Amino acid sequence: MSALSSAPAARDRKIAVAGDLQAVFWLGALPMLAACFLPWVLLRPNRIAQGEYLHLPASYLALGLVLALAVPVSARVWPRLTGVLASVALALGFWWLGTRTGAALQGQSDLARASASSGVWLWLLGAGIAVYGAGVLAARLGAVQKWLPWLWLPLLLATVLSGQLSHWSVIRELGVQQSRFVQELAQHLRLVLSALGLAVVIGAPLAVWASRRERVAGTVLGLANGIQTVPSLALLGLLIAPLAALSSAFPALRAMGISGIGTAPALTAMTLYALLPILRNGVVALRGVSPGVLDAARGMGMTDNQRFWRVQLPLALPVWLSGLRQAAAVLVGVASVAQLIGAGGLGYFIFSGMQSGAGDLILLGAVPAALLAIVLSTLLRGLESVLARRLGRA
Amino acid sequence: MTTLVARSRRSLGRVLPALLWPALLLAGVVPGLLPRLLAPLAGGEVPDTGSTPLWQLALVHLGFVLSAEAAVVLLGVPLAVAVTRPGREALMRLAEALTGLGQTVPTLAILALAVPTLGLGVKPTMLGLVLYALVPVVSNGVAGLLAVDPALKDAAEGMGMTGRQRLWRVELPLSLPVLLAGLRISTVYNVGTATIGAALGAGGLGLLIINGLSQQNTALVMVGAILSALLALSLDAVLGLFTPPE
Repeated sequence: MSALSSAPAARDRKIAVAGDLQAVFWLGALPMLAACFLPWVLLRPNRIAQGEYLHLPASYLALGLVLALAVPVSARVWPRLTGVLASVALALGFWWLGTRTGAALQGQSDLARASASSGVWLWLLGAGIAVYGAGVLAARLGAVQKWLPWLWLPLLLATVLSGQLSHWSVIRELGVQQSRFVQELAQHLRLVLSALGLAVVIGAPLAVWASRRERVAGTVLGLANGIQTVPSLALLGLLIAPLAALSSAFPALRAMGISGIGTAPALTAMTLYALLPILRNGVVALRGVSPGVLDAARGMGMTDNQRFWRVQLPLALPVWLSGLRQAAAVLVGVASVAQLIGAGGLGYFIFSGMQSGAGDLILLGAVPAALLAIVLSTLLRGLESVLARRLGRA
Repeated sequence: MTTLVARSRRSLGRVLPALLWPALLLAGVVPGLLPRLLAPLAGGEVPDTGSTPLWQLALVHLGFVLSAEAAVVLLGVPLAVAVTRPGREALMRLAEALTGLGQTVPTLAILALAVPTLGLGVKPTMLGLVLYALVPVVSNGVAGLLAVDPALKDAAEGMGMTGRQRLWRVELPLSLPVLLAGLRISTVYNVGTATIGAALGAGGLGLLIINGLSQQNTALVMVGAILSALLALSLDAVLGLFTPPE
């Protein structure tokens, strides 16, 4: 009897689960379908001129429509295939960007630029959603299929490494400014990592100290929240005056390169900004460790030092690390504005692109900055989950 | 007695900033006052804040933030409600993943990415503001709606409430504090995002900072920085009156 009544319930649940994923796949299919009818390439005689929009040829359009519909249909009919289809759709978006820009530039002068248009972005958005849905689906299906939705990564790498994208305007722009790009990317990373390092060196002991004092902890949290309300651009601006005053008062500091404009104020503002999540999460994490656990450690005869290093810190670390992750994401953002006070970084391309009205130059700064933020936060999130898992097992 | 004192002190701690910061902001936009105070930074020369009066720049700035916030309430709350209905876990996780992505990607990158399609000026700035403000509102809205005790929803159902009534009379009122906290965060962040929008030619208080930086005029930068910081602190304090303490 119980078996009879539970069977339909289980089936209902399965259908419901399939239903909510089905909605995700259709949500991904809609932008992909729209993308087939939108222009994929904007061809301009030079990088700032007006251009003409080029659509997909009929054969591409047909294949695109079929693929866009195949993802949600396969999820219903043959779920194992969905991950592969979604991955292919995502990689194909990049591949087609390469072939279409290449075709558009045929017979054009060297100055001509072929950039990605709305169709490409919508297709990638839709395919990205499909890949995400396939990941959820594969996790429900089990072990082997789990990796299939990641198929897009090697496909994309192959597309990039084969030089397929070399006609795309952003890659062209990169070819022109290669040494500058490496330099600014390095400066961006240098700014982010030094500010993060400084913030940890200053913030970690401060958080430990504050977490043991009720009133200090409250003040620190209040102050941290207060500074965070100040816009980053304003903070960069506010620091110019005191640093300029310092450098004019002490010539030794000026000799060290500290002045109102440049790396010093950028680094100071970024360190202050990164300090906040690190302090706040540190205090919250350390105070969040249950007093019972600490009592037990004391009962085992641990000294204060041992208790801190072996019990309190390991337990607090995952939450603390999530503060570090927030700090890293914020820093990548602030570093891209740092160009405004002469500190360089990827913002150089964004601002010079805006000044000259060259969209490709803007993308050359904005896309790597966005990717950098995503990669950094993914890495730190991975570290968090590894730590949490290890601590959970121990 | 002690709790009464504690409570009144706490509410004083909330009301005082809500009076202090806006008062300072109002004083700051009095024509000529702040530039004259900061003149020593520019070697005694009163910085030229341009033809637009400061109060007008502050109002434009506030207008950007508030209109983006209105759009966000209209978009974000229905979105949070839609994805938290039963049987939509995958959609909810998708919404959370997308909003998480929005939080990670730098502000300037989003604003700049919109420029090739939307051109310079107000349009890309508004898009950036709305996208950025959506993140805390949707994630807090989802968190708030999920945190409503299922027993309460059951009880409401048992009283014969329809799904819609449950939403309006039980779930939304109970999740309101968390939702408002998200709205507060997004409003304050957007004051900062809007200053960056000035780099795209949208105007507002960021204009003073950008102009000051390009003219290497520290005093002018300070006028913009102080005013936008005061605007952020004012909005934070005023909205703090409507959200419960953490």
